[in-house]
Amino acid sequence: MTASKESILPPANCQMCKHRSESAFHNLSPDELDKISHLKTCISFRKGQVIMSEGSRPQGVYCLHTGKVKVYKVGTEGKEQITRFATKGDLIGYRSILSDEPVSASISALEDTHACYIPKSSFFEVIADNPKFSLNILKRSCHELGEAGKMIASLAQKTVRERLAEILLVLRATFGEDSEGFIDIKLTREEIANMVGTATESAIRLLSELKEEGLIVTQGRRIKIADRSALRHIALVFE
Amino acid sequence: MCIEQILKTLKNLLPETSDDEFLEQLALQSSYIIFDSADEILFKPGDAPKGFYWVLSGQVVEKVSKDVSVLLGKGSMIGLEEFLKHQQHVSTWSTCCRTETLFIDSRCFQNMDKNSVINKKMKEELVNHLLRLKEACQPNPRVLINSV
Repeated sequence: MTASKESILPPANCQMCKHRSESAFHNLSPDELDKISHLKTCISFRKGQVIMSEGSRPQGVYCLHTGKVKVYKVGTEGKEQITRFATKGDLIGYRSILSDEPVSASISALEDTHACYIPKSSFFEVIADNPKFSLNILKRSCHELGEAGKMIASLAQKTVRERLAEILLVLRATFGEDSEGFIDIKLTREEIANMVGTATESAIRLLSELKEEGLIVTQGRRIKIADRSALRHIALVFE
Repeated sequence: MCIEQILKTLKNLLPETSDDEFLEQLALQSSYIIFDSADEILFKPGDAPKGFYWVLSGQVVEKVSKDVSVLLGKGSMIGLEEFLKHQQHVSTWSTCCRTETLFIDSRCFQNMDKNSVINKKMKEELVNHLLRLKEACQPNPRVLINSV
């Protein structure tokens, strides 16, 4: 096995996981991590593969190791609304398990993704035995609720241009930048439009406008933010 | 379970179809769910009809009423009627044992619908479910004989 392949696949023991500090498991003891390591299985998803479907009742949670996924709802006419993204260290599916309700949105892989699957029964064991972990889950849930509230307000109150500017900033904050300064995710114009909640043609036109104004640089599907403070000003974001 | 294993299971379930590309799309667009034990819920009354479960192995039971239950196994499509009719679920579906399923949502279904083998299979499953429901609602023949 090559070194690069080793770093892509999750380690057998969670103590060795390089993304543990970003995950809900970050403050568990070595013994607690050892226990989780025995309960989990490592799973791979291909780019485009559905991980969870809206309306289903998954029987476990996934802790993402490498890769990027999108969380989305499909409307009655088949139009996709991306609500958020998840990446390394994120836990997906836990809200459905905790609330005993069907999953409220679908999740699919934007690129080849590797994750650790923890079955429901084991997940509840970890929660029962670890108050710190339970608190981490609660914090994450509250944070996601807050972000969802912001998104609702944004969709209702901001113009399409303001929303697009905000989305570009969110994408940069979520995925970071690659070595050339481009946002480290390649999305289609349709996917960007779906996130903003507008037609693809409008998203293309607005991206061109932002490019002409010197606020962003585009290279195919890659986008680089050239003037972050100006984009923040347009997005009415002050943090 | 990885894609290759799901594909192998689908090929066993659909020996009549030789369209590997279609099966691969099906495996990519559906979500694989294992219910590890008995009494795990698939659908509850009030659940929205966002999709249906295709049972790959195991057995599930529909609790229609206190006295009427329908048992279905490998190959059955749980929740298909509600999905097609866009109606909320009115009964509870749960597992009888360890059960492997694929959850098919509307997007995946649109592709499935184009395949004649799958189309035929879905019609067979709808009829099968109806027959099982009818059997479950029949009075017990022993009770009938005793009453004569």
